[in-house]
Amino acid sequence: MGDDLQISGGAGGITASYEDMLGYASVLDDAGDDLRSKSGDLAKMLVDGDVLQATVLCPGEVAGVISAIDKVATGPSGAFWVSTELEVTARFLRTSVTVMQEKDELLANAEELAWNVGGWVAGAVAPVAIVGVLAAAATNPALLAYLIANREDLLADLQTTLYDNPWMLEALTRMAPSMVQGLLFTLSSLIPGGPAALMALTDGNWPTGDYPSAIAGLLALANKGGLLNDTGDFTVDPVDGSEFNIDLSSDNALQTIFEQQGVLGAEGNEGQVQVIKVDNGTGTPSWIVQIPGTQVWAPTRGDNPVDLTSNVNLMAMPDQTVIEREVAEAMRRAGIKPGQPVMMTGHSQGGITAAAMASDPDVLAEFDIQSVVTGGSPIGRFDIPDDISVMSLEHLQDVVPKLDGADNPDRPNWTTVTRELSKAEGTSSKTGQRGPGEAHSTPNYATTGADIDRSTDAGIEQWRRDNATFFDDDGDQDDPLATRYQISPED
Amino acid sequence: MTIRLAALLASILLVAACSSGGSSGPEQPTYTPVPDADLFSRISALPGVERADISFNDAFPDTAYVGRITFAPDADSQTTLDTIYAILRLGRPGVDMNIQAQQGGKGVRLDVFDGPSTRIALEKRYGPQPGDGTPPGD
Repeated sequence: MGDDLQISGGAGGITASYEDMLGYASVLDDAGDDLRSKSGDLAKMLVDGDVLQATVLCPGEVAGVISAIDKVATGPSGAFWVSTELEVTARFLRTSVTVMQEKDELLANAEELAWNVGGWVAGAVAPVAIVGVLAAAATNPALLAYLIANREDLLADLQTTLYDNPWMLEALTRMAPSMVQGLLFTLSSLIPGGPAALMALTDGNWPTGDYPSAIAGLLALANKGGLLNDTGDFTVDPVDGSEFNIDLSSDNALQTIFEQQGVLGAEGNEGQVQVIKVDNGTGTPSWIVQIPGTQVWAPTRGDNPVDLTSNVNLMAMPDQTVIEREVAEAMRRAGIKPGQPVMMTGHSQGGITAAAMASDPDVLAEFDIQSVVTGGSPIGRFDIPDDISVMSLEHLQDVVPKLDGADNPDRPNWTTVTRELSKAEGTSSKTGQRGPGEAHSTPNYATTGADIDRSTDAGIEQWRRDNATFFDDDGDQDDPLATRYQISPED
Repeated sequence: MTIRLAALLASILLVAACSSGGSSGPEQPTYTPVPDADLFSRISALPGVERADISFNDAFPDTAYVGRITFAPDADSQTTLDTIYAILRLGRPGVDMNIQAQQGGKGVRLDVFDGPSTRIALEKRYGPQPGDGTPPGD
């Protein structure tokens, strides 16, 4: 399956190539400067006192030497002209990189604009289309009866279609923020105050083509209805008897991380965070902090902050969320000290939380987060510092990592690995149907992790070297020890 | 325009699908699965198993037997772990398994798997379900 991996960003990414080109330009520039300096030194030899004296004694020979020096210093293939060519080439390389970067940015902006316009139009006409479909069904009892009788099969077929055509998922997620706005602005004509009232209810965030503002508007709207309020007081305590040794080496790192995410996120472990202590023989332990994916889908906060409320609030990127605060508390309870290397990992929402914490200056002031690993998480819009290593696993048929409507940044320290799942991997054992839901499962992400663990791609090998401190490769002592921490409502 | 219309229709149906669970009904196994409690009791009773915390996890998006096993220091952990997977194959059809194991301060993996124990890897190792609760001879 390793051949199915699409690797972007990282040491082999476009930005790394641009940086390589700029690096080559600097080398050429320096060589040009050096050569020009040497050309000057050669030219000085022409008027050197000793050479002038020698001209009197042996004019013929000196004339030959002067001619040779002149040729090397300033001739058509001489140092001066070559140095000029090197400097011109360096400038050309730099200009090319700038032009390519600006072109990339223009294309990205144009693409975002196209999705926004498409989404807005689709959302705006949706109520009319729905009314039309309902009217057609109402006047055609046979059609209505067919739709009702075959509803579940039609829906299963739809999920299979989405799984087999991931571009539809991409289109939906790219258009979603504008589509929701278009839909609600059309419907707002039915409420007192019309679109102006809707604008006020979203705290002025809508209408917008900007993703964070779109989510902020949605959050403001929900909050006014008493939903998605990121509140609550919680405590964090170690889970008695949860210590467990884990076989975690660089040969199985990503497989193990997502197997652990699967057990951590299972029913019965709700609201738990796992912290793995890795004693790699240096005297300073390294730590892996694991955060589960969404466990509660109700739109109001209950006893477990690993919920839908955290999802939306994390994506709105406001101040620190409750879940970030509690994960940080678990890290303190585990005994993670400043300066000790930390890797944050998460599946789905867990990855969003990990990225949010790695982007938070307050968290970074307390903990030395050096690495983030996510699976099925939409984190492309988080401003994670360049010196933090990021490994993002995504499946082509998984809608969740697409929910931010943005590609992950292409940068040397951020590697995104995408895998297209087989039909068997996307088939539900419960329904026998393929669908995007299966593409989000932790066993499938563990399989992708195993594929990456076996990969000899240069960028992946660089990631392995950069993260060696988090893996136990000596095998002489006990394996890394995992401990669970329970987030519970305060009494 | 065609793409936008297709995406629009898909989005409406997707929302509907999510609200209904998108299921066309559970797939009927061709055998009678052994109840989970019986499976877990059999595993706990295996020689060399000091502690077994296994459950069936049906929390979206996973459908898997998950858990942790602690082996006694002198147990044959490879053979016993192989047997544990074979026993779980008597249970629910077509599910993944994610069984973590430890022994004497070390994590334990079943060496015959070249990756995680997904239902595809399990089928390859143990053949069609349910089997007879014992691992294949190597």
